[in-house]
Amino acid sequence: MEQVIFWILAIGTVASSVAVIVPPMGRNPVHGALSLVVAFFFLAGLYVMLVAHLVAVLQVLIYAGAIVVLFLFVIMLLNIQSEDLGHPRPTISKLIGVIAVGFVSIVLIGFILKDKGMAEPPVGLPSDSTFGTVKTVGNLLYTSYIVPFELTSILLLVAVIGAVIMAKRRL
Amino acid sequence: MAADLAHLSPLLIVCCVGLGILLLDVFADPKQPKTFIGYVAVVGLLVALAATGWLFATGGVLLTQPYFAVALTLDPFALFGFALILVVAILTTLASVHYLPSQRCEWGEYYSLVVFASLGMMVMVAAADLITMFVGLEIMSVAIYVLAGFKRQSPFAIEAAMKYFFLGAFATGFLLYGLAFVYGATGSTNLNVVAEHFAKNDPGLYGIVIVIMMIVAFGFKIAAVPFHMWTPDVYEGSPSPIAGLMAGGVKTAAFLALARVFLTAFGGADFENLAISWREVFYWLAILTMTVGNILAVVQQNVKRMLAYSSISHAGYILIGIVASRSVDGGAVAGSGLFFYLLAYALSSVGAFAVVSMLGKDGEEDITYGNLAGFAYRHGFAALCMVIFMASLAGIPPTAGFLGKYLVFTDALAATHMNLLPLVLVAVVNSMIGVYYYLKVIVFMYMREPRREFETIRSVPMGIAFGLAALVVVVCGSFPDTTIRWSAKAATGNPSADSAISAASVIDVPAPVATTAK
Amino acid sequence: MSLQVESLLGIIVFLPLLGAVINGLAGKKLGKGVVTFVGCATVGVAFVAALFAWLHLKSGQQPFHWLAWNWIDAGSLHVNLEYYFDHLSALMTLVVTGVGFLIHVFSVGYMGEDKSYYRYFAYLNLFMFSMLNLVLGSNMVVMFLGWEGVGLCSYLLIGFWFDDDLKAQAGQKAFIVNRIGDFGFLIGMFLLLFYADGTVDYLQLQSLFSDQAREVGTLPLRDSLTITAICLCLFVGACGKSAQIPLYVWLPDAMAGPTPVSALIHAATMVTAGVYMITRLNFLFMLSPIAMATIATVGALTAIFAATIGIVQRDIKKVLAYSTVSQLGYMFLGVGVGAFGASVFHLMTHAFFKALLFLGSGAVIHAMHGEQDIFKMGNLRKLLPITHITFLIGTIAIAGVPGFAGFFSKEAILHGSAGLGLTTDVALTGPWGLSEYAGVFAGWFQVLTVVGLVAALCTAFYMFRLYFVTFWTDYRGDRHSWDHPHKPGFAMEIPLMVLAVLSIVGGYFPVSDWLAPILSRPAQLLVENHDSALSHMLMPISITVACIGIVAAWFLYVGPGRRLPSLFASRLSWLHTVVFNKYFVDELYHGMIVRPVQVVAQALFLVVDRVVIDGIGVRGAPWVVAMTGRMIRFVQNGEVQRYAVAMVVGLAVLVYFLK
Repeated sequence: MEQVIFWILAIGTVASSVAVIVPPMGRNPVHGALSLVVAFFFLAGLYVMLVAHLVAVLQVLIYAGAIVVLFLFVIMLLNIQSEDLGHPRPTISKLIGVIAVGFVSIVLIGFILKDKGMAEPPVGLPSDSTFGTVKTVGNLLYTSYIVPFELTSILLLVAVIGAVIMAKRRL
Repeated sequence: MAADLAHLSPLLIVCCVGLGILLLDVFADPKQPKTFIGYVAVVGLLVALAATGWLFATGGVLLTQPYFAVALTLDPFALFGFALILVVAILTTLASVHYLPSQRCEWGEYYSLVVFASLGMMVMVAAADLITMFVGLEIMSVAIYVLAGFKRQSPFAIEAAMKYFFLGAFATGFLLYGLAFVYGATGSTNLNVVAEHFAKNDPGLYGIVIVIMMIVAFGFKIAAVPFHMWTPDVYEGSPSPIAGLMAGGVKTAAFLALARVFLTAFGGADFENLAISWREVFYWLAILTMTVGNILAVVQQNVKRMLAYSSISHAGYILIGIVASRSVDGGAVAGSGLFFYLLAYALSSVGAFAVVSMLGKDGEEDITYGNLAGFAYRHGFAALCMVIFMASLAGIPPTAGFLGKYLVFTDALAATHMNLLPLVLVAVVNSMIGVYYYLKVIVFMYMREPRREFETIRSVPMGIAFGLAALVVVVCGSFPDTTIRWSAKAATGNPSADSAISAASVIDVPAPVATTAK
Repeated sequence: MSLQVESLLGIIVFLPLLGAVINGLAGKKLGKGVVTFVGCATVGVAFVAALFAWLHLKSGQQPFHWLAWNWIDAGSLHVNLEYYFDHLSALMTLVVTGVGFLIHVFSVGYMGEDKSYYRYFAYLNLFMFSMLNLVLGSNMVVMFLGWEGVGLCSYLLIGFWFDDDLKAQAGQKAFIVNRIGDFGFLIGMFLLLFYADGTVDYLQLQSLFSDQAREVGTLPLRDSLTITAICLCLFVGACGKSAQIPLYVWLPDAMAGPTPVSALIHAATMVTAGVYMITRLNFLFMLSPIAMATIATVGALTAIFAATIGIVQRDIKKVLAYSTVSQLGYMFLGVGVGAFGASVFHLMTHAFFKALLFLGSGAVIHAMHGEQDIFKMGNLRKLLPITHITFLIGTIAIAGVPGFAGFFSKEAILHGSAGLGLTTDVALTGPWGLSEYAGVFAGWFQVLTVVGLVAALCTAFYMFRLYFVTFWTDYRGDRHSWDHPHKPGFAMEIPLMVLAVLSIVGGYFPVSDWLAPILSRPAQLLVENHDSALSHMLMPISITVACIGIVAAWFLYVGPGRRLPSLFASRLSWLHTVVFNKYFVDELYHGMIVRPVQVVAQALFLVVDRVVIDGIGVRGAPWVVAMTGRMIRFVQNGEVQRYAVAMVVGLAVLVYFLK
């Protein structure tokens, strides 16, 4: 049962991610963004399977909820016509890129399917029932990961400054 | 705890300086020039540099608070990186104070972004945990993306920023993918725990995926061929002092982080036994990087693009230092040439870009060699400094660059784990090619009549910036004992390695447990 | 004596640097008198100091070191900026500072009118500093410092009149060809460093290799191959600096520089650096018979090849340039056969008479308002009596007339070569123990000796041709120059006279004996075994050869055969064309090396930069467009995708190799 759900979620994640950029969905930015929402939901499902409930909820709330909505606003505001985007041309560099990505994917899949490959993770999830709860994550953030957590605030500040610098009409 | 805060002072001071000048800018008179903010930043960074020097003199410190110790390592390795990054940041700031008004983009946020970028770099080189390193890398990257596009009225700058941002995000994806596999394979992201795990367990296929992903991600930041393509465009479009910060600071931080990650976490014997060890990958990357960088630098007409390709080729030489380094007792790096080379390279590049900044008066989209014609007759001092930087980059004695090459090459020749003689020979041939385009700069400055008059920025702080850099380059090349000792210290000392492992085991990081059958 | 003799070395090396700094930084403001004083006095004092140091050595004292500073002294790594004054470096220092000083003085007159007078002297002093580093350094690193330094100064001075594109190009050519040589030198140096475990000091190297030298016959094959590789790489470096086949092409073009520079750098000092280097490392080269034979062969070929080109050149400086190449070939023949002392001897005498000839030609060119074609001169002995006499002395010296300096040194080299060829049995029982080479090389050295004799014939011929055409016959240039020549002043004539005296007496200095202490044991053995029956036969032959050359030149250019040269040229026009155009070597190089490199570089640029980076097909958007439109087009059509593709391809390649 778990296997079946996993494969549904996994294939769904990959397929909807590909749909973001590949026509026909990828031709239209709005459709692309909506595909992204779908991908995020599948991803949240995968997090649930990993007992990472908090991350799953945050994924839906922040990514699927806030960020993609912002994307959509921006796309609407820019009001891009399809002629602005030009006609998609198959170029040699795209072809090379697809071949390279395909090759890497095939090798990675081979790694997973291989005997003693990566299908069996060397370390498993902690059996602790509190794993992935808000309390545990919060504890970790304020203890072991206090330094990166605090530094993240700087990162956000820098991002805010950057956004203002790049976007504000008059400084 | 209090002692820890004192020991963390370089980071804390830099952080406070960044926040402080941001506030200063808010309350400053918007009509007045923002030059003084730059000076405040310089003073603040100098204080941080002094703190770093104090810590370095004590030979690195152990953080007692375990939550700090798992995240950061303040060994001489990191402190050497701090000092180098701070010096580069100071020189960049000095070079910028009169550059910004000339480009009509004098906003106070510039300085805080430079300071925060330095903070990110410092976190990268001091990180004992891959998560911390990643956050540091992102702080640095985001700040640099914005700085690259700081001349926002110029489409070139915007293009540079966008390119850097897109590709940087792409590279970050690889880094995170690699990190996820590290955690998947070991159950931890702490470098020492990872190293301990891999010392006992065969990394297997995980090892391969991790190594590949990490190489792509770091390869982008250090601009190794074929992950280098953004470099010339971004350097060309960015403000010149920021190009210097990228060449001198970002690369230093990326190289030191790379050295720490690979030599500490993946330094074990099992990683040598992969189909091809990462050293061998770096071996070929080094050959490719220096050769392609050099050949393309020869055909450039634009000085900033030439310097960009030259920085690519230098990444190749520095990679030799990485290949020649050997981790000893899980954590220490053998081979001081790497550090000396980084110092020589960083100061020479930041200085060269500071001199190029002078030419930025009337838009700098196209600073060709022709623009340098007769430069020496109007700006004797700047030209002299440029000669020193070019000589150093070319590896001509008695500059630091020569000695850096010499030390890296002798490190490589002395390496016992691999025969690096062919690599050194390729590097020698390459460095001879390099002389051609560096000397071309000198020839144009001294031996060509100026074609047309063009305005340059006359700025005392800018002069101080490249003057200081030139002084250090010459002094390090002529009286290198102290610097070599520092490099050796940075290369061998790692006092907190053991303590970090023990700290990690006392706190409640989710401990790896045996695989549960599903 | 309160002054330590060691610190003399400091004076010798660093005074010229001081002069360069003063003249370079403040020369513009100092005025001509001060510049002249600083430029000449620093070198003059250095020469006097060198004399004192030499007297000290001559009185039987030991060679001595002077440590300027502990450059690198960290851990296991020691490289010192240290100087070493032994018999070889003493001789070289005397030549460099002595001839250098005379040329400085000459330049005062020659460059007097130049607007960049101070810059010229700064470069010249800087050159002296570099050259002294090269010859006085006590280890390979200091030699490398000097080696690169002289190259740089040569480049700066060739392109000194940089407003002239052709001259700037000549500088470029010299630079690039020297790079090729420096590849070899550096690679050889690193191989040596690798082989000798980081030892750079000559004395340490010598003691390291002298143990092996004693049993050269039993040297393991791998080691002997490595040593041969090191020697050949170093020799490539020597070829570049000392203008040997195939890297000689830059030297004739280097004549674009001011004539005193040609005299100093491209005749007397820098170009002999290769000979000096090989002599300095004789203990190493003696271990590789293959390398030695290669050096001798290349030397002999260069000698004859350049001499034949010299016969037909019309430009006075070009003749002297090819003559320099040819004489350097002699020196390499000498070191190649193990006659190190003879080579350095020839180096010294050559420095005297070639500097004299160049300065003399400089005086001629100066007098003739810059005219360099000898067929537009003639009868100049009337105008320039002192120049004429001194030039004649130099010509006699180079032609190998007995009693003059060139005769003795050339004789010594040919003697070494012939001796090695005829006394194989003795020589081969010595250090040249690899008997499998014996048969081949013994005969070969005899051939080389004959080649050397033919080259001597050519030398005597073209030098007297030059002399007769310039100073005798009728004047063929324009009237103005004849009526208003720039007569050389004292500053120009005194150096000429001093050098003329040296060109006569220089041959009586027993250089071979003087240098005996610096030779390694095998090299000494070889010298002792050079004594052979042929030496007595050789002397009459070479005297005859010189006389034939001189008489032939007189006959064809002054005497009754005056019409013959033009007849030859028209009858055998193809031969004349080929030789006059220097066997088309420049064109050959251009076609075979320069063009392909350009094409490859251009192709690389096109493929990597234009195709891969800028995209296959038409380049996307023009550069300057409105920002929004640009951004959209950028995402759709911009190059960033291709950069990303390159990264992914890199990833794929990594995966391919690591999987």
